Amino acid sequence: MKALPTVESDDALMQRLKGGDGAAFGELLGRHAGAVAGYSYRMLGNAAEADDIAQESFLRLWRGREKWEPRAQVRTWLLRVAHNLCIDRFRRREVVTSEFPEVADRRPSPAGELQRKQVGRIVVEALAALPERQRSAIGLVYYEGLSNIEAAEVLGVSIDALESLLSRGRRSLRQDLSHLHPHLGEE
Amino acid sequence: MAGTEPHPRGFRLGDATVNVRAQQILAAYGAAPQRWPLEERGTVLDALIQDSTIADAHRREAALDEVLAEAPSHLPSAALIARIRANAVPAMRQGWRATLSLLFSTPSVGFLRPVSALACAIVLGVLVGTLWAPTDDANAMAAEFVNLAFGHDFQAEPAFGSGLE
Repeated sequence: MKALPTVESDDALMQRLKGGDGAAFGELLGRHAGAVAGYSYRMLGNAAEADDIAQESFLRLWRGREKWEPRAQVRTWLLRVAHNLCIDRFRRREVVTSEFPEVADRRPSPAGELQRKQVGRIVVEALAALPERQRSAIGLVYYEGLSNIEAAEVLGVSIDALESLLSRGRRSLRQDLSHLHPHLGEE
Repeated sequence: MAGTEPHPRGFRLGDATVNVRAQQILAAYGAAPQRWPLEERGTVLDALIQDSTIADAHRREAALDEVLAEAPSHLPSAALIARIRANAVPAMRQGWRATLSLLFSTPSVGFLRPVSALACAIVLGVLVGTLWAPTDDANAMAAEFVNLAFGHDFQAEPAFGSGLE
């Protein structure tokens, strides 16, 4: 019987990467580029900037490979770098929300009547309107599936503080998006 | 006391503290249990079954999760993956082997597999066709082989409709 192929752990790949193994870098890139680019996109609302941040995050992983400590998790480390780079970009922007895509028609309307794409754009705008730390918390936990411990580590906050950010962010979103779903306006 | 039997994990179901914590977890992490703190999942699930206010809260958070899922995602393109790799890994470590390996192994660019395979097949076909194109000698050898096999000189036979039948 043919044996199933084994998946090499991130730790094992990092050990190879420390030795300058380009194939290990390619494997890590394939595993985590989606999370890093996806998170950056939700933070910045701009695909080109998200790509730049993904590139810079991975370049930093490559450059810092020899100093890598096994206790860190690769995905958490990459997302923390991406998060810091996003924050730097926010600070350089005068009006953050102006860079998010415009929504053609923002009149309240039942979800069933809106095209899926329009609903998506409204959600993106609602996310963009959140304070950046609330948006980060929701991006990491809801969209990227990080555990509370991982997300708190990326943001440099306690679990309690993370939960507070998540709750406040979701409460604002529920209010802003209440016209999109019949159960959202309930209290 | 009815409804306050000690919970196996140390909580008392129906206890206000448990319900408050379940509400907090739903408000923070949403309706999907996989996003809840691992050590508290059982408690929230139990509270969800036993308390209608928790069930209502769960329904509201599920609606928000459903709407949030409509936000478009951004996946890194194959070009971005290649660019990052090219900028990071020194050129001397890369070669056609590494490039092919990336194209065929990276999950996010998996759609390139059939395209890459087709491109490789086309290039191989052109090379084979160019390098091993039949020459006059090869044609003559083939004709002689047929002649020996069938006792008939096909090359000497006039073409159909040439007027020499």
